[in-house]
Amino acid sequence: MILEHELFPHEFKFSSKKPIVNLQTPKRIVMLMQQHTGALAQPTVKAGDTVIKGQVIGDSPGYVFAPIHSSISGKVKSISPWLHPILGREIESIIIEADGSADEIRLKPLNYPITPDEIRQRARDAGLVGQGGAAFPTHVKLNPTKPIEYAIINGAECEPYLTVDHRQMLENPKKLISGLRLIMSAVGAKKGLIAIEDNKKDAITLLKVLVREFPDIRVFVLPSKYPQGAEKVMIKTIIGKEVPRGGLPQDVGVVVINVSTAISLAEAVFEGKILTEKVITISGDAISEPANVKVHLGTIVKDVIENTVEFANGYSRFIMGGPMTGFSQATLDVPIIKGTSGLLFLRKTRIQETAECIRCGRCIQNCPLRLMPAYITSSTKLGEYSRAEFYGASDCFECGRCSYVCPANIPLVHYVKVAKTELFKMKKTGSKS
Amino acid sequence: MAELKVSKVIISPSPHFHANINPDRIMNRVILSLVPASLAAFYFFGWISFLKIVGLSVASAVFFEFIILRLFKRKPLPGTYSSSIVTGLLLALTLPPTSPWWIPIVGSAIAIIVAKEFFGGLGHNPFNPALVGRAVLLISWPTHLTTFIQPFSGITTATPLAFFRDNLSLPSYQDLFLGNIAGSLGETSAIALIIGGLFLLLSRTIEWQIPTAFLGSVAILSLTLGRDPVFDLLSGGILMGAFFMATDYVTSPITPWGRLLFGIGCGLLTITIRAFGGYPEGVTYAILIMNAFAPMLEQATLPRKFGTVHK
Repeated sequence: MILEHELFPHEFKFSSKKPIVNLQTPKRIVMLMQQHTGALAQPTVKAGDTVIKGQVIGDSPGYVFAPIHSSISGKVKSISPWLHPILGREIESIIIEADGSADEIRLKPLNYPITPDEIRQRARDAGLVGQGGAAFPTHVKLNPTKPIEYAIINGAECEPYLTVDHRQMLENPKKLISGLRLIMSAVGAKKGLIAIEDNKKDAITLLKVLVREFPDIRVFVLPSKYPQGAEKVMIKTIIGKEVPRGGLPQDVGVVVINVSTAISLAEAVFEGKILTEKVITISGDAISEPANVKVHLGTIVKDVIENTVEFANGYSRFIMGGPMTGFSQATLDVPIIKGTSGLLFLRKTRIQETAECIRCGRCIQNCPLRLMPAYITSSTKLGEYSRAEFYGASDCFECGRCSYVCPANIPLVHYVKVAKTELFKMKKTGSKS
Repeated sequence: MAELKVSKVIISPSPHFHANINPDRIMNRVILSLVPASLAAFYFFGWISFLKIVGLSVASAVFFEFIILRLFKRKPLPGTYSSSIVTGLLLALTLPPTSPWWIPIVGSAIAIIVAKEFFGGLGHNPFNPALVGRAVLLISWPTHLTTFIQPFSGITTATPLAFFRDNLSLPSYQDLFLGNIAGSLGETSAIALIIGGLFLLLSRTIEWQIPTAFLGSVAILSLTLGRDPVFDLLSGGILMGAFFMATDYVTSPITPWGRLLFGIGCGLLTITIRAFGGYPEGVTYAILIMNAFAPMLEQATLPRKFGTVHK
């Protein structure tokens, strides 16, 4: 009870000692045409076509874009709408059925010296996006318009339950470091940091030994404190500077890349591997054996959990992502996308009733960006979205701390999202409320 | 694969976790923090006055809440009844032990019906309900509200603050500290109030800004005016006000700097009223006046958003 403001007495990282297991090739995949922040992909194949693993099936001339590749070899069954787990609506998808062939397209491995342009081109060709959740195209991140001092690998993994980055750091540390070196040369950073929360002692010890031979790379130990993995919070902790409102990390001379993304970059450059698989955590209190698995992109969740997951009891919530920022799903018929970090099955059904705001101020004390969640919410309820904006609605990165600590159990983050959507609409139509 | 037993899948917005906290738990902590003061009241003024005033005040507060929710067809939200208990308890502890039986009932009625529910219920009242109840009683029945007795003996006497105003001899610090003085039921024992206040602070139920600013500004202004700051801090309702009344969530600012200014205002007004006003005590009015300023203080002290660039 004392010091309730310290979040998470338990982190529920049940799967942190479970090695990554490769799942077998699925019989069918569903590739959504929107898997990243940016332009929508246009299918480059049609129903009946034969595709090979690694073949581009969705492309766009847009700059903020990463192509979509088939993760299996087989035949395109159809191109039809499918439910998107994050957007919550159906979008165009390519449905492919496996033909059992083990063919795979790979890019030509590169060797040093490699130019920054080659790295960026390779990141795009391999379909790389940030695998932490926001799925921002990596080649765009690697092309900053401002001078960069630090390239930071984000190994904080502050979300409860998730252990993807932790396992990746333990199992692929050398690839991680070579990925970081590629990032540093692409953005022209003189210093490289691997930032890890202090609850991952084994990863810290291992990487500290391995980075010894690189004088420009250092392991930075972060205090375990949610939301330490949020870019802005992490940069503030490490270099003491605040990313300006509405700005990007590059404005303070920093580029932050997720652990899995850096490993994928190293694999793309040195092995020519295309992003067709990714590591996710399967966990939650409804599951008897939590696991870290490597799945093919586009695998339907139902197929992922078949043969891998043993349910101790029925679950009452299925969440894609972490418990703080993830999206709860109504069905298991959703595919894994590039930004998926975990599948959580939770049992807890007791839902606390929502009360009136008692103005305790906990949401304000807990906001890492010092916004006014209570007032964003009350303004949004009244439809006064520009007022919600005044209290910081657009700044919010939806870490969920305010809702987590709210005694009245008000879904504050939800109201922020509503305000953001409405503000976006207003901006688009140019109207003012 | 084992057959899935899915009875009901819950869809909810993120986060899907919640800290184990709710309004009732918070109010229960406040009630718990008032136990030492209640025990002191019981000890110094006997069980008859204790039961009469505390019992009637709390019971009628809950009763009026129940009636008015029925009348207004409002659903009792979490925390509504436990906050009524807190209001009833706070009101009772600020009343003289000799108050007639109807005083706590009338006070609770005003606190719950007028100050709380007329303004929209829990979370919407601009003024602290217990203090509104007390202020109305003080204006309407000044004799009943300012007749005090000596602990144990029951001899009618004035409070130390009145002694001070009239330049009479004052009780020792030790008596003030323990509570062996004339005064309101739960306000005499400084040590009991401090224990309760520390509990609220350590459990992070209240934040440090308001009590610190309140007590600090009292001490500084008292010293500046040539009064005795230790006497000022330990006498009257200042400790009760600083830990339990001014820190009321609903009626104080929600920004950290707003809380600091709010506390300073409460402290300065209290000593101003004590030193220059017609009443020997000023905590009630000081906090009520500052309640009115809370929204303004909030708007003036909005935190600097992360990444705001100064030009």
